[in-house]
Amino acid sequence: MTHPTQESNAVRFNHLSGGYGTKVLFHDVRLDIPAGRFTSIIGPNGAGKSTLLKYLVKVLLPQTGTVYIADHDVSTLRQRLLARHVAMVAQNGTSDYEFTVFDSVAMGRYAHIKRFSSLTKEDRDSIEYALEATGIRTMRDKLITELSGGEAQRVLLARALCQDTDVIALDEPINHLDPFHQRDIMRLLRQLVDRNGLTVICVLHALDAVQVFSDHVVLMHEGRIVATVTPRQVLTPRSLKETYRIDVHEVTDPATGATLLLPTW
Amino acid sequence: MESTAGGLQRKLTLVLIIVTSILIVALAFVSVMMGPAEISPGQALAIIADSLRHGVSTDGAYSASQAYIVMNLRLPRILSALVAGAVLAVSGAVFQSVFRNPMADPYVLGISSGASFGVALASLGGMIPAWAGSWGLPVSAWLGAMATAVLIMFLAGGGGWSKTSLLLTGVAMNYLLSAAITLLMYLNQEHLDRVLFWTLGSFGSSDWTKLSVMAAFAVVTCVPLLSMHRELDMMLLDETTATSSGLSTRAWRMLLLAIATASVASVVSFCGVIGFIGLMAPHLVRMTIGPGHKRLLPCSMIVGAFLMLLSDTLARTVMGTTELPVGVVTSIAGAPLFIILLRHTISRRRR
Repeated sequence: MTHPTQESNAVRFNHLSGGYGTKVLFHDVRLDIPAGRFTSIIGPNGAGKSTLLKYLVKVLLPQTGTVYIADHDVSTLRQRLLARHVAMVAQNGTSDYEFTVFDSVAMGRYAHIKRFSSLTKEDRDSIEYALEATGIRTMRDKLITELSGGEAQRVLLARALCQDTDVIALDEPINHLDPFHQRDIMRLLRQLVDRNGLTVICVLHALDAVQVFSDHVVLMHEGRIVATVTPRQVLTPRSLKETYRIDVHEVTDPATGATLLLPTW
Repeated sequence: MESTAGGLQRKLTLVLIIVTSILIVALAFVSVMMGPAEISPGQALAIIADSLRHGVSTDGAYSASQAYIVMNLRLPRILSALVAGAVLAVSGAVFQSVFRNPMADPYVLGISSGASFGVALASLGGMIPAWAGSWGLPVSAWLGAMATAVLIMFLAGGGGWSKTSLLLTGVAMNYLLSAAITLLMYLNQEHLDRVLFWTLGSFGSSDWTKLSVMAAFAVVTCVPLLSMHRELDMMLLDETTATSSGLSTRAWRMLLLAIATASVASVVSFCGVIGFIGLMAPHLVRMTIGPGHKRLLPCSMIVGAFLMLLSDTLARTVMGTTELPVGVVTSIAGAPLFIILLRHTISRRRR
């Protein structure tokens, strides 16, 4: 994972303050997310990780400050236009309605489809690409209610992919998945960054996955950004002790030789 | 070949449309013949065929009164039932999707009662200006329904749109409005039957003028709703996913509810409150062909039209010469379904 000296930013949170109702969660948050990189957002529960993503897709509006995506002020972009810049895989995003996998993924094209017109060739190509990239092409006619957790997560990712954006934000995409499917989704995301130059912003809890897969790590604690650089610089026994209140010890992965931090149980 | 649920949904859609259309034509034909005045199938056909050619009967196959009954009583009534059924079914489907609640329906939520209260209040209170003509009733129904819908949004929205808080708000609205309507009846005892008409529902007073205004309202409201099938699909997603896919969820929720409320109000103003069609038709269709609105809405219209015609035909024939309010028939069929849905939702939440 090499880092060019000059990096452009895909997303910029500029002096962001806000919260729910009168409860202020963020105070003057400043954060740049580099384009074409895998950025993980970590931090204990309630640190404001999901809320940060909600500002990015304009589900919530900050009280003060500005969110920029590709140099556009998010608050001035119409929702449809914003959806062509950033897609999101939400937590609990699966629906319990009996849509087919294809129809479910095709909803990701909403921001591109004109009213009164059906799917264009471009739409279909995009959907096929998303189905292919996430490995669910053969499931297209299955009902999403019949899928396993890992398959359902792929459908959500495919829907976000066919939205055809440069940035994809994911809120805890590997929660509730077994280790095999966790690895599966993480590898897929890493591929999208390496091969397609996508910017991935991912809220994660699995510290081992964060260390292995991400280029940048943003550590949040009580609505503040504690640290943001490479995994090695951010994830230290001291920073984890201060935020998560856990002790960690360093181990060497015998397979790769990399140093990993393991929580002490 | 892999098992394809999607392919099955598409095939069943076609089957559903064809079968229901045939049933509607057959039932309409039976319905034209049934009633106190006896009219044979041949006579019915001859009357309709002659009217279409603007001709007068030459061979004396039927009497003038029989022609009058078919053309001015039964036919407009049958068509009114079909239009009303279609509109109520579409609006029911829209309500269920916007609230993400299989039990949400204009009748259950008290919006139909709001419409009937609006129309009863305006017409008994003499608030409708003469120039409004045939449009005065639907507009006052719409105002009553809209006020109810806004109140429900306000009250249930505070409860985070949970299924229970929404339904309980609807129950409360129904209590409130039924008290208000009872008060109106008490104060206007000389017009008791008119108020009863709006609360119980009937197609007994259908004529071509009312039918054409109702049909105009149906087109104006249902065509936009049919075109919004993608937005309705996305209403079934969680809010973050729908919004980040480009849907301004709050604005669309308001717009969809406003149009669906308007469509219900127009039906109520002409036929009174008729419950549960908006619950039964979309539910039957969803079970058969899935939740996608591109197919769900048109299919619900056809099924709703059929169910309404069936209910009205039963209502005016099952008791001999005494006519039942059509709302009684739809409630007898629909209330048990509501209970089944309720039990299903509760058991799902416990899991």
